[in-house]
Amino acid sequence: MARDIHFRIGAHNILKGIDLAIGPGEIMSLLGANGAGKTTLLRVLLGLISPAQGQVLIDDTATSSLARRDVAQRMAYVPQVHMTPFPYTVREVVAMGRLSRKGLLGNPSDRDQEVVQSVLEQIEISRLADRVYSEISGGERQLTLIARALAQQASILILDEPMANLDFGYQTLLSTHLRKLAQSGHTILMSGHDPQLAFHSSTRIGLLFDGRLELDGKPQDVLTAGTMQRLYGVDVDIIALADGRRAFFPVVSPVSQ
Amino acid sequence: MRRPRLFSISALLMLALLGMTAVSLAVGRYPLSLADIWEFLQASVGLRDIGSERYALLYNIIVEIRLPRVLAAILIGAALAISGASFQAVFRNPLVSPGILGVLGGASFGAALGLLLSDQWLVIQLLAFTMALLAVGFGVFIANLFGPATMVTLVLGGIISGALFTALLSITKYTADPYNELPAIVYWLMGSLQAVQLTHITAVAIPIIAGIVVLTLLGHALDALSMGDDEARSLGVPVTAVRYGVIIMATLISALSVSIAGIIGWVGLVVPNFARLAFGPANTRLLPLSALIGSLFLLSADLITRVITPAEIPIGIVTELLGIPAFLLVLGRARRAWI
Repeated sequence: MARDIHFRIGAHNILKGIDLAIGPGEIMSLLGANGAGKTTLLRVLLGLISPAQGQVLIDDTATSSLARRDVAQRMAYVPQVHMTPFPYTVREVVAMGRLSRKGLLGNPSDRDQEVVQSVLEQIEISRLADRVYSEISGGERQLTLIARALAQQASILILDEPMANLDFGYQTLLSTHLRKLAQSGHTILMSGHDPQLAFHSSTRIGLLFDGRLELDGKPQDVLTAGTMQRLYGVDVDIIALADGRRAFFPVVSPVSQ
Repeated sequence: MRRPRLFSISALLMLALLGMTAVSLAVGRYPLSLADIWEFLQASVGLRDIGSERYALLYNIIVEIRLPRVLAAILIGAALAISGASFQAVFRNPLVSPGILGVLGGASFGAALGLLLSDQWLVIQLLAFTMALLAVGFGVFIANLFGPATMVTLVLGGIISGALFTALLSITKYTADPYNELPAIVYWLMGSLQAVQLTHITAVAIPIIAGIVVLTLLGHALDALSMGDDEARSLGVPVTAVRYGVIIMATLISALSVSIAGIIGWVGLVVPNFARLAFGPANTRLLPLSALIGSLFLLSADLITRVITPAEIPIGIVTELLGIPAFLLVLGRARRAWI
């Protein structure tokens, strides 16, 4: 998917040669300290900024040679939860995902409306359809943005810190949705901050150190006490449960003790 | 919230506009009844004979005196409202008005210069129009001076360009003859439909209507654009092209309006906000409905200028006076609903 990506701002190298191939059914989480280049990498992959060197390929086609609309049909972006200055309803926000399918000027067809309705049902937010997007909760807004990406019917989903603003319940709900999407053949790449969440919601984890993708593999191989120490500069205890789950604790005693 | 259907709302607004047009044609220093207008309409298509003298009188009042300003109010109201709504979407800010990129400053300077150089309306209008485009061009140029324009640099470019042309306007005012030219400039800046002639209307109608159609067609793209550049791009919208296309169309039609009627404030700010509150933010609906409501608003304002006092007051003053309470109302509702 990405080949030898370099990106710099001025003399500052942000990404230093990233090679990354990711395929259907995979859920890959990118972890890295603040400033390691996670967001920059996602933006390069999405074609929002051009790399100084290297290229992004989808099925062997360089995305830089495709029109925006063609890229949007293959790859959808789920931004961090935000507010909009205008009171769009959830249905209107999700319908924006149909732009690349129906063309810029056309009106949504019956088919477009069916797709919108079906993704609302798939993500289980049809009850919110006629609510105003900026008035629902952060978790509900995140689901709305995912529904919009699904309405694009793109096979690749790129999510920027999707778990960041979600409560415990929504984090689990979101990771269940992502799992189903991967099983149905989507390719999912997301950035995150929480190793424990990444461990449980991904099939694969990449660790970014200062613009380099240094480790990339199965969660249980990548997320070790050693790599955690290198990544975040804190000592971590990892407790493996018999059923495969793992808990990550920083080595500090609770304040209450 | 479920949105009512576009078709039924616009049909209703069209009817209101038609009614308002009839009233506007009837009201004035020589009052006509709606029956008179109906009579004239029938006579003009040959369904009825009312005598050539009466026909000439009605023709003079209705077609030569009142129709131009009625049509001007409809066109200009629509143009200002839709360009305001488009700029609000492009700049992702409901408090933006069509003057954001300097179009008003440029037009004001152009008109003032025209009033100094010539007493021909055509010269004044052409100069106002050219300077309006020049001012926006200059604002956009500044926005692109240090790398590709962003929303912030565009706003700053507009402020700088507006300031420059306002300074130029001040110079023109300062050098103007204080007995004749200066009052003419001041009156022009207050906006008026008084001097509008049928030939002006035919000249601007086609570009304004074309602008309204193009902007409405870009409604879905504008929706995506108002979510942010990155999102719009990843939804498949060629952001830069759409943004400049919209800026060009909206600037063109607001410059045309300003050059034939002077500065008419508040329409481009209040009407889109009112329409958004009533019919939702989706631009494929908001843009045409703003245009219709803008027409209604300016037609009503024009009616007020003509009936409230025997000596007509400038329409810009009326739109401001009407606009402020309307805007306060919108702002109160908006704060509760979205912020």
